Amino acid sequence: MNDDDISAYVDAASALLDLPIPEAIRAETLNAFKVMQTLSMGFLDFPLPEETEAAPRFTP
Amino acid sequence: MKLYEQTAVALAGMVRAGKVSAMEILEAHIARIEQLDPQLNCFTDTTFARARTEAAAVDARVKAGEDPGPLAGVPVAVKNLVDIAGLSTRAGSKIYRDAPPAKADAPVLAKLIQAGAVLLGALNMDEFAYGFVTENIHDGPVHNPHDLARVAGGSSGGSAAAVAAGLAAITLGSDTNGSIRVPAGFCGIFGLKASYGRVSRAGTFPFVDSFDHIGPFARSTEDLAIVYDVLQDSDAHSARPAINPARIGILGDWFQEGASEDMLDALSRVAKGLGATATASLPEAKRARAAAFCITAFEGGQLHKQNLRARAADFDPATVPRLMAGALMPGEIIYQAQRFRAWFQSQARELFARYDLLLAPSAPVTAPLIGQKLMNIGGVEMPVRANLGLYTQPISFVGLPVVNVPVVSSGMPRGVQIIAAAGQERRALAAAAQLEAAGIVAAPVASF
Repeated sequence: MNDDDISAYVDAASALLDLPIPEAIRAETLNAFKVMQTLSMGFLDFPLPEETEAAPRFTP
Repeated sequence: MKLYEQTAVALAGMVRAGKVSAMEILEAHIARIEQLDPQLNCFTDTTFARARTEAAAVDARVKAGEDPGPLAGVPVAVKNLVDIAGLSTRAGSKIYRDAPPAKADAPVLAKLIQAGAVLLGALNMDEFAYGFVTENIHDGPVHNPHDLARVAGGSSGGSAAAVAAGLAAITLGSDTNGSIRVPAGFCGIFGLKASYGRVSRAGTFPFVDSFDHIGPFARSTEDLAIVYDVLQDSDAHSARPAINPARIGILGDWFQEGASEDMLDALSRVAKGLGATATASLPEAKRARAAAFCITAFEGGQLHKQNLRARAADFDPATVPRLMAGALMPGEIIYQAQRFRAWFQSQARELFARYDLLLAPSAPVTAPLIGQKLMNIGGVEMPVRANLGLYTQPISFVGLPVVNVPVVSSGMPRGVQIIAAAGQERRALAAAAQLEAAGIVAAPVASF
C-alpha cells in the first residue's frame, strides 16, 4: 500500500465513521497509520492454525 | 537514615512499635515534596489535608492498642488515572480536567488506605497513558531524579520518580505496554506488573482493555510483595519459592537486538547473580510487539472516539495522531492481531514448561534526554516515544507477571525484567529478593 492508497483509505474511513481529521494533525495521523499498517504486515501474513481463536473470549 | 529514605516495611514497623508517629512520617514527606517536587514535577495534585486526617487516625489506632495495618503510616501516591474521592480523574488529559470528582477511591487505593497507608496525592503521567516518556503537554515533563535533564520514563513517570526521590514510599501506576517497567527501570526502583487480571482495575481510567494492568512501585522487594498482597487481599508475602538456576532462561533474539552495552551488562549481572546461563527463545516477539502496537492504538482510539470527534484540539499533540489512526484501523488487522496473541500465548506457555523465569532488559537504552526525539537502536535511528517499550510490549501482550529490578550502577539506572509464568508472581519476587540480598540490585533514594 503506497502513501496515496493510505491517504485514500484514511479519508474514506474518516468519512464513513464521521471522524474528521483536523488539518493540523492530518500529516501525523497519516504517518501513524502508515506505521501501524506496516507493522500489521508482520502478523497478517503469518500462517496461523485455522483453529486459533482471537484472544478475547466471552465467558458466560 | 532519614524517614523518607526508609522502606514501607520499615516505616510501618516503626509506627506499629510506637517508635515514630504516622504524622511525623507524613510531615517529613510533605517537606520533601515541597522542597523537591518543583524540580521533579511528579505531583499533579496533593491531598495533604486528607493525609493528615489519615495519619491521625493511624496514630489513634496505635495509641488505642489496635492493629493499624501492615502499611501503618506509609505515605503513598497514585497515578492520576486512579480514582481519588473528591478529585477529577484526569488521566493526564486536559479533556477530563473538569470531570465530576470521583465519588470514592478506586478499590486498589481503598485497600492501601485500609491497610494503614496515607495518601499524598496524584501523580503526573503521559496523556491517557499513551507514551513512555511522561512529557505531558498539559502538566509538563517529569524529571528523572538521577539526572534532571532526562525523562523518568512513562507512562507512569510521576509514580516512578516520586518513589526514586523519596517523595513517597509506595506509588501505584499502570502498565499497558511497559508503563510500570520502563519508568521503574529508568528511575532505578522496583516495579511489579502482576499477571493480567490479577489486580483490580475498577475505579481506574482505562486505556486498552486487552492489556491494562495496575501495579506498585517501591524501593525494596519486600515492599512490593506486601503491597501486592494488600492489593489482592492475600497475606502470602512470606512465601518464597526456591530459585533453580537451571530453569532460568535469558531471552535472546528480539530481547537483546539493539540493546546498548550498558543494558546488556545489566542483564548479564542479573543472570550471573541468579546463576542463569541458558539462552531462551520466545519466537516471533517482533510480530507480537507489532500486534500489541496495533491493538493498543485501535482500542485506545475506540475508547476516545467521541472526544476525537468533538475535541481533537484538546488532546496532547503527541498522543492524538496514534489514537486517530487507531480509530480508523480496519477490523481485519485487529482480529488477526488478537488471533496472533492467542498463538503467541501458546508459545510462551511452551517456554515455561522448560523455564520458571525469563530475563530481559526493561528498555533498550537508559533514560533519554527530555525533548529527545530520536534514539539509536542497533544502528537505526528510531523515534524515542514509540520505541522504548520494544522489550516490554511482547510480555504484556500475553499478560505475564514481571518484576523490574534496578541493577546497581554508577551511571544512569538500568532495569531488568524478571518474567514468570502467569500466576507465578511469587517466583519473580523471590528471584528479585535473592538479587537484592546479594547486593546486585538496590533502590536507594536518588540524591540530586
